[in-house]
Amino acid sequence: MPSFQQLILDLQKFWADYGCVILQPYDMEVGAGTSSPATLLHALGNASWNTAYVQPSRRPSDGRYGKNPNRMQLYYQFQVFLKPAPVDSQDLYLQSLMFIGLDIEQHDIRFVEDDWENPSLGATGIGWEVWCDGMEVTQYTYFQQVGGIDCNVVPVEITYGLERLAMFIQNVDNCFNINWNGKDGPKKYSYKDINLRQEQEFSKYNFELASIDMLFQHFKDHEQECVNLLRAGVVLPAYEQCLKANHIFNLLNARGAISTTERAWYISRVRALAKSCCDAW
Amino acid sequence: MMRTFFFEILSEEIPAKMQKSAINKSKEVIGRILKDIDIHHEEIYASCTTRRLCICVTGVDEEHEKYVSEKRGPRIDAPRSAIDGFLRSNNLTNADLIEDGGYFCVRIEHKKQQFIDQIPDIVSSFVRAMSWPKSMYWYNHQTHTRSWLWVRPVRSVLCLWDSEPVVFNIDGWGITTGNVTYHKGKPFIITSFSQYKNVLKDNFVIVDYNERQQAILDACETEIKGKGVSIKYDASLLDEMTGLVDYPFVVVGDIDKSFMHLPADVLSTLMKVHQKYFSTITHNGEIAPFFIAISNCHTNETVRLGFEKVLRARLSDAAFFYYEDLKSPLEENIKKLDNIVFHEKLGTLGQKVNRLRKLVPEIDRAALLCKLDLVSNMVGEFDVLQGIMGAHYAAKQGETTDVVNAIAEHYKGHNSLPCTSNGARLALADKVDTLVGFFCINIMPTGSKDPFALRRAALGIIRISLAFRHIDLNSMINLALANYSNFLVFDKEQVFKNIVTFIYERLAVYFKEQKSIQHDIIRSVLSFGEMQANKLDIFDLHERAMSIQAYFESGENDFMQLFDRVHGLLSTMSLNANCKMLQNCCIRETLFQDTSEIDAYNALTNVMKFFATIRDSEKHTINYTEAIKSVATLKGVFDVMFDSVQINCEDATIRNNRLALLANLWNLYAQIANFVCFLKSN
Repeated sequence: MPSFQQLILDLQKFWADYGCVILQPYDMEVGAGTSSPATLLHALGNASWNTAYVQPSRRPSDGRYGKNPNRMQLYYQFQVFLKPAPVDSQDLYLQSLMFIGLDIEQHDIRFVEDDWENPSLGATGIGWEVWCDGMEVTQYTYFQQVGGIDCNVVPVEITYGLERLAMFIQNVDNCFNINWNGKDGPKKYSYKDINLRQEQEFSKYNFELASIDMLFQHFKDHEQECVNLLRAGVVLPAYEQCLKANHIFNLLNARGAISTTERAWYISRVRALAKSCCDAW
Repeated sequence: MMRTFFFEILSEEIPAKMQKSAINKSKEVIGRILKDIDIHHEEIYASCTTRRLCICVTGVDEEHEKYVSEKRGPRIDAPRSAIDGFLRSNNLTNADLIEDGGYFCVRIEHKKQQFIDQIPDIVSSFVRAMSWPKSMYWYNHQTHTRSWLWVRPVRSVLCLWDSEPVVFNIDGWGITTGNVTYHKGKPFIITSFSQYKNVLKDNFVIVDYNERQQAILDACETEIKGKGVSIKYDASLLDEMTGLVDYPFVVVGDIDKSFMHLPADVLSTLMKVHQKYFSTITHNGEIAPFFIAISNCHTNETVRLGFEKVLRARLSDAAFFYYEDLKSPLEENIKKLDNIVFHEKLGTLGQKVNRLRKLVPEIDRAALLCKLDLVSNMVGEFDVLQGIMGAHYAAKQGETTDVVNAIAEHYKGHNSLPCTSNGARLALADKVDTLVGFFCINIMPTGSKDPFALRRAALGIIRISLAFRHIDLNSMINLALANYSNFLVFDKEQVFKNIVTFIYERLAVYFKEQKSIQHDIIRSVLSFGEMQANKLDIFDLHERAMSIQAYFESGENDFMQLFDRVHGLLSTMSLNANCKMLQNCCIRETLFQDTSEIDAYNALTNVMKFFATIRDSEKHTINYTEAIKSVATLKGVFDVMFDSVQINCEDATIRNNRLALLANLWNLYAQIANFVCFLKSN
C-alpha cells in the first residue's frame, strides 16, 4: 500500500520517464497547479512543453479548522501538463494509475463530462472529471482559451487530487489518517502530523485574523505593481503580482470582507491583469 | 445493386447527456446530405456509446444517374465580390446565374457517379455539419494546427462500403479512415456492421443505445429481486446512465442507516446528481436504504464498497449542513438576501423577492420565503437542492402546507409542472420577473448564447400558462414592467413587444418539438398572434393550433381548398389588403344575379350566425374545432357559385358585391389564423 510520498514519487517517476520536466512547486500561494506560469503562460504560443509537478494549492474559504475529513485550505495537486496533447494521453493516464498501484481492471474508471473555467484567469477548457469507483480523483482538461486567447497548440492538463487518490489507495475515510511516509509505529507520520496544525492556524487566520484594511491596500499595491511591471516589459514578475493579488482577493473573500456585488468586480480586475500578462507573454 | 454504407467516429468519452440527441441529430444530418446529392437509400440507423458515434445506411444505390441540382447563392443585391466568389467556387460564369426570390441560383449538373467515390465527401460534410451542444478543438498532429471541431478529440474513423474499407483522409482531424476500430487500445478489423456489433458485444460494448438502456433496466430488476424494493424510475437519469457505460454491470449498495433520517428528496437528488445512482422505494412509496449504481467493469466487492464510501462522504456533508441550517430561523436569513446579487443591473435577490411579492400579493408569505434557501449552507454546497431545501426548512419551522408547496414548486415549469395553483403562480412570477428584467436591460438570448437561461424561463411560462389558464399572464408582465420602471429607464411598449415576440418564438419551438404540429400551422397561428401583439394569449394560440392540426389529421381538406380559391381570387385582384374594407361593404341581395350566389350568401350568413353561438365573448375566443368544421361545409355552395358566375365581371357594382361576399368569408378564416402563411410556403 503506497504512502502519500510514494504516490508522489511514483507519479514523478512515471511522467519523468515519459519525458516531462519535473519541476518543483511554484513558490507562491496559488489556488491550483494551473495558476503556475509553468502551466498557464506555457499554454500560450506554439512551443511544445511537457512538465509535471506537485502544487500545494491554497483555497482560503475551504478551511475547516482541520475538522472536516476531506476539506482543507491547503491541499496537494499533482499537475501534468502536455503540450500539444498527445493522441494517447488517456492511455498514458490510465497507465499512470496502474503504475501507482491501482488495478484499472478491478475498478470502475470513468470519464465524466466536466468542463472547466477559471474566470479570474480568463481560462476555459473541455474535459472530464475521472471517477474511480464513484470518487473523483482527477481533473482532465483540454485547454481551449487562456487569458481570453485561443490555445492553438491545444494542451491537456491532468490534475491528480493526491489526497483523494491516497485515501482511495490506502482505504481511509479521513484525509488526516493518510499515511504520509509509509512507516508503522513510532516512525510513522500521518497527514495529520504534518498538516493539522497548519489547517487549524490558517483557518483562524483566513476567517478571523487576516487584517482586512491591510489586505485591501495590498491588493491595490499588487495590482498597480503588475501594471507597472508590464509597462516595463517584464511578464513573469508582473504575473506574480497578478497571482498575489488573486490570493489576497481569495483571503478577503474568506474573511467575508467582499460582498457579492464587489466579488464580480474584483474578479474582473484580476482577470484584466491576467489577460494583460497573457497578451504580453 | 443495393449496398450498406457504415461509418464510425471513435472519440474520447462523449458526455452522457448529449448522446441521445446526437443519435437523432446525426440521422437528420446524414439524411439531409444524402438527399441533397440525390442518393436513394432505405434505412438510416445511428447509435452512440461512451466513445463511438456510428451510422449505418442500408439499401444505398451503388451508382446513381446524372442529375441536376440547384444551389442558392448570394442575394441579388450582394456585393459583386461575393457573387464572383460564388461563381468561382462552382466553376460557373455569369451566364449561369438565375434569379430566384431575391437570390442568385445556379444549376449544377452532376455526372453519373459511383457512390463509393462520394463517400469521402459525404463523411467530411457530415463531420462539419453535425453540431454538438458544445464542441472543442484539439491538436492535429498531421497538420500541426488546431483540429476541426468535435465533441471530444477523435481518435479513429472506420468506414465501410458493405465489407470493403473506404480509405481516405479527414484533413481537419489528421485521420486516415480504414476498417479498424479500437477498444481498450486493441485493434479489431471490421467487415460488416453486424460483425462490428458482435465483436464489440464480445468485448462488453453494447452498440445499440436502446438495447443498452434495456439491459440496464433488466440488470437492475435482477439485482434488486428479493429486497422488496423497486427502482425510483427517472428517465433523464436512465439516459445519463446509458451514456456513462458501454455495458451495464449493476451494483446494489447500502445507504448508511444514519442518513436515512435526511429528507427523501435530499437523498435521491444527491444520489442522482452527484453520483448517478438510482434510489429505490419500498412498496408503500418510502425511500429504501439501497441505491443502484452502474459500473463499467465487472462488479466486485471493492467497487461496491467504493460506491458506498463516496456516498457516505457526500451524505455526511449534507447531514452536517442540514442540521446547521435548521438552527438559523428563516426570518434571520431574509436580510442576507440583500447581499446576493441577482444581476448587477437588476439588483439583489432581496430586491427580486420584493418584486415577486408585488406580482403575487395573494401568496405573499411564499414569495417572501421562496429564495431563502439560497443563503443556506446546504444549497451553497449542493445547488441542485434549491427549492427543495427551502420547502423543508419552511415546513420544519411551521409554515403552512400552501406556503411549503409553493416554495417547493417555484422552480418548476420547463420540464415538470407545479401541481398546486399557488406553486404555479409563484413559479410563473419568478420566471416573468427574470425574463422581463433581462429584456428591460436589453439582454436577450442570441444564437447559442443564453447565459441567464431565458429560453428555459420562457418555456416554463408557456407550459404553466397552458396548464393554469386562470392566471393572468398579461397583467403579471405589466406589473413586472411597472416594478422595473421604478429604477430602470426603458421603453415599456417596446419591451412588452419584444417579450411577446420572444415567447412566441419559443412557442413555435414548443409546438414543433412537443406537440408535433406542422410547420405551416405554427406559422399561420403565430402570425395571427403577432398581429395582436399588444396582448399575449398562449392558451388561445395553442387551442387554435391544436384544432387546425386535428382537422388536418382527420384527412379532410375542404377547409383549405376553399381558402385557397377565395384567397386566390381576392389576391389576383390585389384586394387582399382591402379585405377589411370590403367586408364592411354591405352585401346587397338585390345585386345577386344567380341563385348560386344567393345559396352561398345564405350558407355564409348561417355560418356567421353559428360563429356567434360558439363565441366566448368574455375571452374573445371561439370554439375553433367547430368553427373550422362549419367553414369547411361552405366549400360545396361556393364551388357551385364559382362555376356559375364570373366574380371579376364587367359591372363594378356587381363585382364589388361578389367581392364583398368573398371578403366576408375570408374574414371567417382570419378569425381562426393567418392562413396566408400556409399558401406562401407551398
